[in-house]
Amino acid sequence: MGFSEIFGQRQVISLVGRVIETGRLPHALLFTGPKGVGRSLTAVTVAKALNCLAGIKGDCCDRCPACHKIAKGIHPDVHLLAPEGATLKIDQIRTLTQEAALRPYEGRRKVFILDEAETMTEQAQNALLKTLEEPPGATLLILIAPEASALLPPIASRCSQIRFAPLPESTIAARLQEQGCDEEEAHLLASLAAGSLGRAQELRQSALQEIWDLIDQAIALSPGKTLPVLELTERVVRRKETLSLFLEALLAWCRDLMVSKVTRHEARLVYRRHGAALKRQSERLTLAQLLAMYHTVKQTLDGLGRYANPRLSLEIMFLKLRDLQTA
Amino acid sequence: MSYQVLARRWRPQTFDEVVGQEPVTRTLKNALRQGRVAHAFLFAGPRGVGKTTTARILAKALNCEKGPTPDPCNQCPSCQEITGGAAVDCVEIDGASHTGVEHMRDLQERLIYQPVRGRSKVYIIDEAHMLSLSAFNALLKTLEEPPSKVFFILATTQPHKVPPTIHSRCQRHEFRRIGHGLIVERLRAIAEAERVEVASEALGSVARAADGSLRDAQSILDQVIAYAGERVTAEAVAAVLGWTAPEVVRAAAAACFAGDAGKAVELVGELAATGGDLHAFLFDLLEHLRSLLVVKLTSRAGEILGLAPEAVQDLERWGANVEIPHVELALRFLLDAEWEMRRASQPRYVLEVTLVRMAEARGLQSLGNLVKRLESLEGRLGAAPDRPAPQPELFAAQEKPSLPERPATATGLEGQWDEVRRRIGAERRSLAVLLAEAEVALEGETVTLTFANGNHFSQSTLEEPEVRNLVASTVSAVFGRRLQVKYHFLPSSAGNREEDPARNPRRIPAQDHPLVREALEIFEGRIVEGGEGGDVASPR
Repeated sequence: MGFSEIFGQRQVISLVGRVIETGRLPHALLFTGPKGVGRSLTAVTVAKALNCLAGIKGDCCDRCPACHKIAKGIHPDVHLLAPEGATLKIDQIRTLTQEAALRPYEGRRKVFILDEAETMTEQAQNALLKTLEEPPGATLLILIAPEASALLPPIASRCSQIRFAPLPESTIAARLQEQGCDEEEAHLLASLAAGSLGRAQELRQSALQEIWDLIDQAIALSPGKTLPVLELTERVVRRKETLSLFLEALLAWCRDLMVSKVTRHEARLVYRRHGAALKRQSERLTLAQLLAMYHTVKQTLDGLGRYANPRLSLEIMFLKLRDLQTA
Repeated sequence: MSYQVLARRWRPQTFDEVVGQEPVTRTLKNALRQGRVAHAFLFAGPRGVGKTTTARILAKALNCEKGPTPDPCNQCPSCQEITGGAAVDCVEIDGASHTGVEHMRDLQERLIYQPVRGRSKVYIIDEAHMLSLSAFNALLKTLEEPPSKVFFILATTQPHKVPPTIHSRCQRHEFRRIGHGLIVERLRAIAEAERVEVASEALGSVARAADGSLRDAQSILDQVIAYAGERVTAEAVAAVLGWTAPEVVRAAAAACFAGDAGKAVELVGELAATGGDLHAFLFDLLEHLRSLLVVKLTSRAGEILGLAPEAVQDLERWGANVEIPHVELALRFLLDAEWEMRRASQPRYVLEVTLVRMAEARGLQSLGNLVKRLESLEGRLGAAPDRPAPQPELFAAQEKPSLPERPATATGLEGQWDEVRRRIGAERRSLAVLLAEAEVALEGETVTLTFANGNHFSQSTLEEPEVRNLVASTVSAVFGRRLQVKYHFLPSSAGNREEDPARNPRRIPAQDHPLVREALEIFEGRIVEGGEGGDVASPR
């Protein structure tokens, strides 16, 4: 797989291709951007292009033994470091430092790819500093992180940062349609995926229909009644796997309400299909109410991220939402 | 051979080449000249400003064949070995990977040997803040009195992590962030030497993004040259840094200040649809508003922001109608959002909600506006401008009897008593609260205040002579004659607390409360205790 097959990152690809071709490749790169937009794939392709035996300028052939070995992760000069458990540890970095001091075995350049570099412990990051500034010989380090500020400033300052933009929604939607989604579903998934093709594909695998049903019920909670709230909570909590997905979908609904309050363009909605219903609901409520609804869901989502009790949090959220809508 | 980045290729090799650290380099040069070089240094400062570089130059200066000299020759074998990182007498230790006490012991064992080639041995401990506490302690004795001809240089970005016992044994040098102008100058020199044409604005943008770190600036320049080739424009820099087009940023800010939330959301939508970087957009917006604030606050904005005079004037014109408090509020919203966006799974929503809130906040009147409106209102009412708050007559007019001399009737008494409390409240707020509980009666020349629930606190407060005088004088002033004030404190009784449920129509029997009824319905329960006499609010 050459650079041409990386999806949707034309600017990055042309930049990287050009630096390799002109021989101005720095010794340390930092790939930033959301997950699932092609950062690791690009890193591996760079490693291939540097070590490919076919000698294509600024790209790789994907057929030679070197390319094959790199694709399989068994090339002796290309190392992929990923977190051991939750973090990238200092021992991994020490091994890297020792390894970097050696000449390449069979390739032209040694490449170290640090995936999820933001998980490096503070010690690990500090241990990397000297190697990152002046790596011995022909070593290239590629760090992958969501953004530069997720790393210590001295680390980021030693790297050339290459920004991977979130993919445009239309691009993701088009790709999903190619893979057999219908247009509405593709749009919905693309908007929920926040610019990450990987996330969109993950979403597609999950039980979305059930979530839409639950959201319909959440919206229809009628004033004054408490029993339906408890029942709904029960149903949502029982599906642990989709809990956060449900909340994010609900957050998107609240966001849509706010957006349809302030603008008439339905194209910007996540739930385009429900444009009319959104409009009706948002017209009944004030902007302050809508913002409060959004924050209620947001708070619950944040709380669950910090191990709040799901059942209690959801009950409170639904009650608040119900009261906000009727206030 | 692989490409060497600009930051490495252009690493300064003499003290004079080090940019923006004049106090440090001058001190070191003078010390070398006078032969008063300390044996231990601590170099502290942010990333990419020249700590390690200066340490290496110092090592060269001490070991140069022509020296110790403030200007190392960079020609002799000793200098060249240090530049190449191969010198035996200049040992660079990575403090972050050699953190343990055993590493320090190792180092100490080797201190007794004489320098191999040069006059002195220099140990540079980089990232010194990562050494363990025991490693630092093991170093203390050596650092205080090292063998002759041994020099230590500790470099760190986090001096606060270095124990005070180390600080006190070292000569500490603070490295500062490098000014905008100096960075631009240095970048221009590098670009010329590299035979690359870089536009002035482009250099300015790079320097701004580098935020005081020369290495950052060089890294960015490297990237921009790779991206744009021989001719670098400001647009190329913006593209590499992921900056949003200034028109979009201004349009979004304008929409927020105009209260047009729809437009703002629309702009974010467009940006997301084209794969724009929303974090970068937020930063651009922040920077734009910050510049606006600076321009509005000071006439030296050009210097502070590193902007050309035309750009400052342009910004001034753009934000002529925006008031400072609004900018401030907007900045506060954006700063909160910046933090939140990092953790959010949908940064876009955070941005949208923030912009909508900013647009809404415009609806809140600024303080200046309110004061102006109040003043014009006063003017229309024809009140004298130096008059304070509304006069009592205006307030009490309806309740006051038409004849001022007439003895106070029941309603007149109430009205006057309210006025007394208002006046006392203006002097001592807490007193007015206490007096609110009193029942007032006027008999002849005596005003009697009865406190039904007189506790010790209210009694002792009211009986202070100062308070007594204040109350008496105020009462006399309001009623228009000299009156005596008497207090009457009734002991607090249980009867006062327990209210009669019949007197409070809002209280309802427990079994009729909607919550209770719903609970019964949900759990299909029945009332076991409480029943008839139950009362929702009464304590049991």
